[in-house]
Amino acid sequence: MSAAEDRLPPLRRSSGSVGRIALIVLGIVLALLLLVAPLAVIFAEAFSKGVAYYARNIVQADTLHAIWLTVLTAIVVVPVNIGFGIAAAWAVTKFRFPGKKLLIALIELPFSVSPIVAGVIYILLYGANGLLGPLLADHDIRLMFAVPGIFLVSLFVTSPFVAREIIPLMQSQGSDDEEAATSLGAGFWQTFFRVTLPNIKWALLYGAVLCNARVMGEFGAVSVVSGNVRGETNTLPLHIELLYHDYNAVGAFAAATTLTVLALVTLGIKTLIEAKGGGDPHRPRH
Amino acid sequence: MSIDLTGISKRFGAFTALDGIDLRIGSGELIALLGPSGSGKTTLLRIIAGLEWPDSGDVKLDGESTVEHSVRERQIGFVFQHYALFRHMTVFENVAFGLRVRPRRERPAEAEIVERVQRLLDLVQLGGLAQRYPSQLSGGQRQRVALARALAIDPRVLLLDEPFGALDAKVRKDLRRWLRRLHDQLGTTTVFVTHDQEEALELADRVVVMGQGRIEQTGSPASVYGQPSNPFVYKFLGNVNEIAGRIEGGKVVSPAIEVDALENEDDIAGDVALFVRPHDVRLAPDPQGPATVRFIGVAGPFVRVEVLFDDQALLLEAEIPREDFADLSLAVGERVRPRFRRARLFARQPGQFDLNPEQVSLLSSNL
Repeated sequence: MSAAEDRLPPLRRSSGSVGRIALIVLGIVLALLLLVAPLAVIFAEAFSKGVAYYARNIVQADTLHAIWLTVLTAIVVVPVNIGFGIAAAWAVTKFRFPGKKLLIALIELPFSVSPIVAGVIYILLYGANGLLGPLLADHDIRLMFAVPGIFLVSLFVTSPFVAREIIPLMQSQGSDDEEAATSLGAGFWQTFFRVTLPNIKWALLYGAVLCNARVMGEFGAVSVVSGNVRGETNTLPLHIELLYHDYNAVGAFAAATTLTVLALVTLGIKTLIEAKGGGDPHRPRH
Repeated sequence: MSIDLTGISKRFGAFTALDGIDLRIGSGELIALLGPSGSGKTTLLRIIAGLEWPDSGDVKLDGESTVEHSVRERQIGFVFQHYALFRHMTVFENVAFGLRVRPRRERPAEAEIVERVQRLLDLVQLGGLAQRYPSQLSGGQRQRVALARALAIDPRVLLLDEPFGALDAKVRKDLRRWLRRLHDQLGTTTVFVTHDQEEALELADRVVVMGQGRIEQTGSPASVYGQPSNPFVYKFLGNVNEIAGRIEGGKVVSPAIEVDALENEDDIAGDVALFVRPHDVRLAPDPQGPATVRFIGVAGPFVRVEVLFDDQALLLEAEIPREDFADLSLAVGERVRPRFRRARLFARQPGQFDLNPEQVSLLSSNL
């Protein structure tokens, strides 16, 4: 088939070239306007009063703490949601059981709930005046307006990312490979680590990257439950907003650059892992 | 390793996949489970493997009940219809999989694994492709990798689900003969599922014809083809002319067609269904004959001739060897007198020969 396609004459090159160039130009212009320009503005504003001023803003204790808290949240939330995503996808794709459709809908629920609403729900449940508030207070557990609350809402908001990526893949792959592995004598974990996981690893990686990006950038839900205590419960997005409202534009943009760098690091790690899988013929090609 | 199936039944919701299957498979046999889709043949194969559980009944391997044993413990080689090769592993690692996942004390040393895998790859004639990935192989090669992988665990029984279903005709034929030789060489009890009667008849020692969750007939290829025990088996094993007939005193009195051999005239009398294979129909040009040639198809090893009887109620299909056809020099529109070399009688099913008006008008308009 591809050989036949190769032999096809360059169809409608003369008439198509104008449209093609137009599309390419449009693509470049949009990318510049929507992606590159905002990035450039962030860095330009951050460095507008010089490198020293920028560095002073970054090493501020509150900013450093916000960076740490953001990274910590990702370290806690992403692995949990990878585990949740795999377990949920496994359950709905490898087994037949009543209520399966409902479970799939539930997994996607956080996508359709506004993050602010999610945050409010958590306050109503776990807050001091919430449903479980007295119980938690009795045991001296404080979830809301504290770091655990940030973890909880971040978990909620980003829980569908991994599952959403791997469910369609696992559905299309069916259970044949797992059945084959079992018939060859492999146990549950052997089947999982040697067969299932390699089959879904690229989708899993992509889901984890999306999950990570959302955790680090989440504003709405976190702003409801964090309480915005500087140096204690402020994540980077919240910290950026605070600085901006303090009329410290340079500080806000400086903090924003760190968030940008975190995103770029995530992308870099993803690219590196994919490059290491270069010999794998099932590596996704872009 | 012998397999004993007793009273196997399986339902999926309201659908009865298997309905009381009893079957004994002898050690070293090569068995075909033949049937249309929905006949339960794949479900039965999966139950033998332990990939599916029967609602009732028992599977015994060498006399020992396996209902308590999971697929993992049964040591059964299963080749999946679409091979289910591990796509991220090389051919070598695919075949080695069953050895590598063994508990440490049973696992062969690396050198022995290498040697055994290489020997299996040589056996399936893929010795040079050990480092390829499944996506780099042809369909026939993937099939053989799947087979080598299943053989690596020294299976007590080999089960194959539609083993040639996804291959093109030429490869299918070669692989079929090769599998027969391999079976003769290894002697492993083997069961394969197919919907292709030619495949089952050519390859198997014994054919089990299945329909709607039941076993319709079991026997050697010659016996199921030669003596089909019911209309379903007769129809499933090849093309057939179904004719409303009447038997009196062991003779066909209607339709007025001469029959050389009635295969089971003792059993049945009165109104019957006459089953005749197209290659058992002979045609002779005869201006006084009761039928007219309506269509002649000359492609293939046989010439296909359709004749329509004057009363429009009977359309007959004949397959005539090419040389015989040349001698007959038939043409469309010519009158002929058909004769049956042999025919088989079955009791008439209710409504079997009720032509609806649409069919009648179609028959007459096409003439």
